[in-house]
Amino acid sequence: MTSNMVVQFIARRTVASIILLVVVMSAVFVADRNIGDPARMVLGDTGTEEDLLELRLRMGLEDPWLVQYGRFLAGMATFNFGETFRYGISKPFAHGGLPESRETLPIALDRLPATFVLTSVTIALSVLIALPLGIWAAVRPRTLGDRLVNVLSLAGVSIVEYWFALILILLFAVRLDWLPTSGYGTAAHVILPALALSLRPIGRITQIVRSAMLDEIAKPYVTAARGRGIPLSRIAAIHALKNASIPIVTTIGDETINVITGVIIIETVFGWPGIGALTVDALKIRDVPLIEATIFLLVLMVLCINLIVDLLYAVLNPRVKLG
Amino acid sequence: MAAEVAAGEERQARISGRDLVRALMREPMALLAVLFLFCLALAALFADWIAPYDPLMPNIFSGRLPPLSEAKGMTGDIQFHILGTDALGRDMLTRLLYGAQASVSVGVIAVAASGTIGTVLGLIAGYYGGRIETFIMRTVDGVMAVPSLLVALFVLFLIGGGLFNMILIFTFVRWVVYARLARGITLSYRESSFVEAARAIGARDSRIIFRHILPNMISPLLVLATLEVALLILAEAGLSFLGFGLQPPAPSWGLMVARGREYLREAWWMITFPGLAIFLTTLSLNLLANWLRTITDPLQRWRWLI
Amino acid sequence: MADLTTVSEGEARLVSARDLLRVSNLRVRFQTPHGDVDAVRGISFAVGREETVGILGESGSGKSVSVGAVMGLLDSPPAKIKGEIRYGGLDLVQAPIRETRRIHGDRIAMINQDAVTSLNPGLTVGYQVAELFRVHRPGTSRGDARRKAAELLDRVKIPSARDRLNSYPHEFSGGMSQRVMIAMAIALEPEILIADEPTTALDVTVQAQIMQLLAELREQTGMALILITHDLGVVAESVEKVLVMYAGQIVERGPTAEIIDRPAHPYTAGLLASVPRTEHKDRKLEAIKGAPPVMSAIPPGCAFHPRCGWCRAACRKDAPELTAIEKFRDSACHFATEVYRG
Repeated sequence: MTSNMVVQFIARRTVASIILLVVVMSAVFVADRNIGDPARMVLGDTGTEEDLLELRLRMGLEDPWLVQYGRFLAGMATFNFGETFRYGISKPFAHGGLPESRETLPIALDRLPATFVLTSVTIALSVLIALPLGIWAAVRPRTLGDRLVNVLSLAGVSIVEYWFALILILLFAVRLDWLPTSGYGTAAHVILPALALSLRPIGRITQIVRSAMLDEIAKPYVTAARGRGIPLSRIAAIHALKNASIPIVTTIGDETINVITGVIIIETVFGWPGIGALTVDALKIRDVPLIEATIFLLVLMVLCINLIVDLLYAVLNPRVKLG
Repeated sequence: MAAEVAAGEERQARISGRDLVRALMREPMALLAVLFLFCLALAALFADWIAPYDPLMPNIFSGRLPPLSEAKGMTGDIQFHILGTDALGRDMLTRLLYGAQASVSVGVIAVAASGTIGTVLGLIAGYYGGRIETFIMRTVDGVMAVPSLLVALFVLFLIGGGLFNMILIFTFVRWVVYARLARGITLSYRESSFVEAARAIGARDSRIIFRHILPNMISPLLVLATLEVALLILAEAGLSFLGFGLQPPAPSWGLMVARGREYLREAWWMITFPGLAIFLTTLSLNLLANWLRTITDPLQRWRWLI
Repeated sequence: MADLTTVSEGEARLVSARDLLRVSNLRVRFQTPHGDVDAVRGISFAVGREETVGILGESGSGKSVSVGAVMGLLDSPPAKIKGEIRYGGLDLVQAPIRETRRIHGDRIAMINQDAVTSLNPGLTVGYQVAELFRVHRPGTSRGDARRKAAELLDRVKIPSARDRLNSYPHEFSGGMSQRVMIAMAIALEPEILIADEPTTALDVTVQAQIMQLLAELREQTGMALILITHDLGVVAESVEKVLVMYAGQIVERGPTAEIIDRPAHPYTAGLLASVPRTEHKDRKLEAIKGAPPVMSAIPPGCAFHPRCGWCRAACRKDAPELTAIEKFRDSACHFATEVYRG
């Protein structure tokens, strides 16, 4: 496999991702025009007809549909979703005066570091726990230890994250008072949300590592390696893991995406100032530009992770067919 | 090497109902899961008869009572609340039983709908190939690339929550997993000798697809469907918690946890029991799927039967 | 290397002056969902220093399972192993894995049937060969291990060996893969080499090359060879002694030339009659009637009786013991002498 092929492959996947992003965002655009007049939502019951018209002009709502769509697409290319008149505006739209507004993108971008921290800590924690656990279980199938790992990992997958989060708050923040109930800033703040979010990825990754390793260990090359006196632990950790890495990397990618959607709920529970909590807020106040900006960023993150996983395939498998 | 011998013997044998029961008895966790799901199904079906009290009627005499409390009912009778009551004085056990109805029906109906649609489209894509396959599978890739929960959240925000809308959106986002599985299996059978033979004797396409190919994917589909029910019950709980799913006063497990959150410090039972109900249900489904997968795989099955 | 082998060699001499490996009454039983299955039903044999022994049998006769037991490849469950496999002072059946691991791949090495699947597709060939030194000779530096790996590939006649260290197995042909397997097997200069159908998966022309290579290497190193095969021709050309296995038991054994000349068991006679031979050009080929028994349903009495032309009432009831009919010739047949005399 040449580096040229890798570049081509990545280029092809990037184009596909961009097309998908445009399709999804277009759907969001169409949907958003159908939830009611955004200007009317800003004004609420107050405001005269002139106020409404002024605001509609300002928001570009009086332009033809196609112009609006073109502006939306151009905005996507430049990461600009217009201004919000609702989110974080202390002074509501006042009579006659110029409407107060804020750019949406800085609001959304401000939230990214918090989500990034939470997601990274969660995934790192999950992989560090799940990988050894899955391998350990796979080399001793049907023993007590294997069954225990199996049931525990299934329990991790079965738990309701926000419920577990609340139980954690109840135990460690309310009853024991060891950790803060919510907020952001110190390492102590990240522990409970990361713990709540990591149960599911730990469970899923453990399951996949275990079954992928079981499949590999049944293969003839493992038997042959054992016949050469190579310890099973070494075979598992070096020989089998390398070959089992494709489904494992796929699952880690999937789970990273799941965590990114999981933060929508968990950030809300812990008052974590990330993009997920912002999305829920934007939906609740029906703030169209902000909804578009947050969904854009979330989908963009997901597509980037998919792209990274595709890239890893090429690195991991000497025979990968890039197509 | 040894496993190959045991698996080789097993591959020749078709699994019988007696083997299934024998394997179930060997696996206490799977047995417990099946028993729990059976009881849950009964509870959901007969909630109207089993539930001790009214799930919706508030009771001013019995707000936020801890488990094992007694209180006066609205009609003056003495009510016993084994799992306590919620903020409006409604019996927790009663609401849990009705909540089972909501969770189970969302999960089961959406899985039945998405499973049927996805399987048929996957069979068509795999069997006919060509442009129709390209179209179906591109759509599948597209839907799969965007997280289901995000789509569900956005669409429910647009069209509003409620049982029917949830089933609708879950069907829309989840049919793709069945389509992908069904297509993969169909591809592996399309050129197989028994399909060739059926085609040679002039069997119609629909007969080949449904009589010859479909039966070979029943077990993996069953495993997938079981996992999906668990996934959708969790999704329902999450969306209802955020306020985009089922709407109050409907007794949904997710909503009950959401409500209980406000009384986290004072009334632990208000979130603990509904959360446990969701956990035990999804855990049972996952255990069952896990066991089903192993028992229907000839390469693994022998371990459970010896 | 002396420090690794002196003890076992010394003890081996106490057991017998010549025997390197002694298998006594080996039984392998597999647990399966439909009841237990006996794959190997009490076999005994010994392999001496520099000896070449062939184990001949159809698939399912238990020959591969027997060497699997020797190499410690049978997991429990589902396998239950009884009997003794003595190498040096060690019983490979009972000894803990950390001790047998030092023997396998080092003192006793094995070549598998399908070289292509026996190589790890995800690791370079150089890594897999060098790993042997790193595992069995701790302290070998990375560079040394690689250098030795290159020498080995050269020794098994892989062209431009040094460059191919970084190749992955899928870049090798079946014959080249088998050469890599042989390189790994002889890497630590084993005393016994077990070759389990080493050429079955290969093209006919490549088969001859591989057998030739094995013969040369054996000549150079003086290692003992246990050759598992279903191919009478291969046996005739490459081993001095042969064990014929049927349904998990040894039915006949003796020097190869003598057995081919005068079989003392109807099964061996049947095998010989089904193979074309140059010295009897006008003889008609005859297949053995029926099929070998499945492991879960071995016939009572002599396991071969349903397929045997010599079958009498006694054969259906009593299983014949392996008994000597002449010096170095054993047969497990009620009519061994009659078959032997023709």
